Amino acid sequence: MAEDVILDISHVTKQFPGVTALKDVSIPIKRGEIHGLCGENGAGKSTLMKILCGVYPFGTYEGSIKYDGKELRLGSDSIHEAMEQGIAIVYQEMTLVPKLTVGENVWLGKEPRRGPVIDWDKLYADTSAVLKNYKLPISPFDVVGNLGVGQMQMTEIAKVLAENARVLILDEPTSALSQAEVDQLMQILRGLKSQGVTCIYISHKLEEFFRITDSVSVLRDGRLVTTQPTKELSLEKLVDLMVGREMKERFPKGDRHPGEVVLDVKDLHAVDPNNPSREILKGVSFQLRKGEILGIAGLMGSGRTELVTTLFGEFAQLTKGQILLAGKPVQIRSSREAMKYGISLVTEDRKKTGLILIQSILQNMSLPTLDRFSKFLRIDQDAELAAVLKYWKSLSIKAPNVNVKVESLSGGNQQKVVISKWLMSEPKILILDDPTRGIDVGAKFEIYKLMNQLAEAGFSIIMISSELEEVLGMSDRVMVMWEGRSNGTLEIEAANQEKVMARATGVEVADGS
Amino acid sequence: MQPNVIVSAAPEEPSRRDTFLRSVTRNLQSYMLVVALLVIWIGFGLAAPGYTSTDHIQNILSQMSIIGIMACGMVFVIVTGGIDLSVGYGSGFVSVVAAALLYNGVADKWIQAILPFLGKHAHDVVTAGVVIVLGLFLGMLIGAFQGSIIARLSVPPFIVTLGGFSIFKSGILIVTQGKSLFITSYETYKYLAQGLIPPLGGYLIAVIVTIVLFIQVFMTRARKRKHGGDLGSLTLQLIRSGIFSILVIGYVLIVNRTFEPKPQAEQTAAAESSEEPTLDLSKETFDESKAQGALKNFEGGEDASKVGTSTPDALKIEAAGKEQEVTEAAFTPPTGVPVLVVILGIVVLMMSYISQNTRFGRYTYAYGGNREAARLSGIDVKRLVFKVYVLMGLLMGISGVALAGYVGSGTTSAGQGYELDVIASCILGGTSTLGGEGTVFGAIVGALIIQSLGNGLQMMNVNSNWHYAIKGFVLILAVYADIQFKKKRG
Repeated sequence: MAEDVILDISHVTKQFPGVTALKDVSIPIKRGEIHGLCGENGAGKSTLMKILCGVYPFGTYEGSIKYDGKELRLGSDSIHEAMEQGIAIVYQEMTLVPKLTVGENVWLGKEPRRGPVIDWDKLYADTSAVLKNYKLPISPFDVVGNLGVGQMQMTEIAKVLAENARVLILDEPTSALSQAEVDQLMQILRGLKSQGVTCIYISHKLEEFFRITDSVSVLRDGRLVTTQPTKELSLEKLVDLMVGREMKERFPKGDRHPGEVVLDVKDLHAVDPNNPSREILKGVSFQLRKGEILGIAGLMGSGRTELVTTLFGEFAQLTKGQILLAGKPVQIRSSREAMKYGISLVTEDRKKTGLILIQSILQNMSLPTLDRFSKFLRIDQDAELAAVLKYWKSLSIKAPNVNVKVESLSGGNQQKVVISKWLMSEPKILILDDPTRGIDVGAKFEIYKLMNQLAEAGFSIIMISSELEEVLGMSDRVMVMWEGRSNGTLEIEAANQEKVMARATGVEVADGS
Repeated sequence: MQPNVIVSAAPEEPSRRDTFLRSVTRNLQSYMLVVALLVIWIGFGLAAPGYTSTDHIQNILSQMSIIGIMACGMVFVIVTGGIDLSVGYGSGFVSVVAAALLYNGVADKWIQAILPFLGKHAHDVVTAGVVIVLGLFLGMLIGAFQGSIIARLSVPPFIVTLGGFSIFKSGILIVTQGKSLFITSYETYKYLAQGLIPPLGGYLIAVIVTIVLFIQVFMTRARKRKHGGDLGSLTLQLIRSGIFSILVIGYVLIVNRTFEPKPQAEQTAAAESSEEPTLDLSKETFDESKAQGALKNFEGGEDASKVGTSTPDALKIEAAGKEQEVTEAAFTPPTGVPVLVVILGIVVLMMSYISQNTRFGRYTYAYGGNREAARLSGIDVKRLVFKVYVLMGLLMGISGVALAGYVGSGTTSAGQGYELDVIASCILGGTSTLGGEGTVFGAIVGALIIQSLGNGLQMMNVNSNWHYAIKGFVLILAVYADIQFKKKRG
């Protein structure tokens, strides 16, 4: 091949008992490029990456992978081997120790030593050098636990760069980042590229491929659909390639007619109950109408999640302001009370706070509503099962039966279980905190359709999202948060990305805020 | 709302054989435990004479009852991700308080004062009732005390119950003043811990258990069929119920000595003429020998108490041996299901039911599986944790009351070391120390394994200094095997 290929994946097939995860996949990755890899969940992206970084060692797959012209032969338990050769993965979930400093984390397990003791001077000097070289704006002395998500990721990147990584695999690097942090990451990646580091970039946010990558490979059902230079692709074309079918619109349009105001939040102020001097909400006001989808936009740390958890009776302590439900002032002190008032919250992180992974679909779905199925002490399991089956079917959750543990479901189906769980409590107001995070395009579309159906049926929905397009595509109105306060609510017709961003960054401030 | 109904593609109907095999593999873990138990029984049965004797079979379940009762509660505690280290001395404390009430005639005086008109027998029954209720109440109080500190003040359970461990040890020494408090009369009280149910009662229990087991299989299937759930293999479910029924029936037949030759004619005649006194005498002898055993151990000081009285097993076996000698000569052998075993059975059934069929049970497992998700689902988690420890306390109370009756005294070392056996039973039975997983049934099988192992070693005359070490290695090995098994399956 004429071009300089650093990693030549050719005819790789990987089988699991009963499933073929990868079938005859060939991707040449050029030295110094940023190579995008996209596909729906289960398309084989993760499997391919696990082969590259040694989770599945040489011999457990068919085909060949040439790294710098030589066959990549990784032994079993060879993640370290892959690292030594210069292939490193930056995981979606952070692998840092929060109590240690950036420097300590970067050199964890391979600290420079002078005799038996750690050479702290060298450790920090070396960290500084790496950070400076790749223009990472963090200090080696920062304690990781105090850093933002974006900065933690930089630490993670610094960690692999310190080991002279030449091929960097980024798995969903932006899923937890704010817009500003994403911009910063893009800049860092361009920096890496100019230093000759090759990146493989995996993401569900397709726009990002057009901002950063040189070429994109699309996987579908374990097969390679295409590898093309990014400039020859368009967003619509990419979506088509991924799902293998025409998707007319990414956001289905509903037929909604918002009615009277059901929730009226007036000038809400709140503090952290564990640290009353820390203000979390500094004046939030908005209204929610019946049958409406209200989008909440804002950067990470703008107080969006804190706002909805406070509305749900958990987390923050109110200091000022009022919450009116159907015109009546209410006090919500716990999730239990919130449920009584007909408010349900689908939390941001379904694995941490939404689901009990080791329990079944049935057990997860009926958890908040067990009271209703209980007669005296006994749970009426007939009634419980019947109710669960109704939602299982109507949301078409893909699982052989409701006794399957939720940990074995895909992200999209897990999210449907969480939504079902809260629909079962028959809420009037459903709050969705980043409902499509980390799920694939097809499942996203189904969640959007579901939201439309719910709103049409008279539910009021509040949706938080990190993706501006999603907020703009799905909402009737958009409330923008900035530094713990509401910075105006925009009618959807008047809203666009620039306007929302201007409010979210405080460039433009609404009257009265 | 009526979203579009797209039922996922129906999985093709698996054949009956497939379902059977799949269920077998899925349940292999719980079966492995039972298999391990059988291996222990067969092994010791071949190696140790007397291991399969009627007397031993009759004893082994009552010996494990005290540990077993508490293991049922410990499952809940560990499922929440907690631990209770105080159950040993906690139950010991309850037992010495109960013994003290009877020993000094304190309970007598109270009851005499309040209900002076009672006859001798009625008085005995009321005394037993009062002491039992007070014992259970004390247990719950202990649970409420520790539970409130754990739940409301968020002090880790390990610390709180380690404190309790020490506090109740002190409590035992304060109540007993370093002496053993013997319970000499009070037949009703002791009957509950030492007595046997007449054979007819045993048969009745066996029949009821068998019927319930089989009805349950079909009821569960009927419900699942109605709602289109996964039925599972009928063969396997029937086999499971069958095996369990056979075990229960077999046990009842053995302890009722149904197939044993009747005592010789003249003996029967002799026994007939003076049945009541004979039985009484046998009991008296039994108690005395045991009391002597306890005394001997107590007087033996540190060493003896470490080896002997730390569990009632040693005593009981010793006593049983002596009793056998005595009874073989002149009396009918003890016949019938021990009352304590019935109490254990009731506790196991109730706790098992609670764990699966009540909100409290489901919330406990949910909380153990993911605390945050449980809290955000509207569960009052502090109250939940509090309740779990109160329940543990109640079972501690039952065990304590039973312990006093079983040993026939309140001793300074009452309950010593029980916490380890109780926790080990749960762990052996598959309860995850990470929380969220574990069954009452598993814990009981675990307790039975530990008891079977201990008795076997004792009957093979393995130096008792080694017993704890062997139990320790078995526990580690079992958990290692469990981890390996899960890895393979996962």
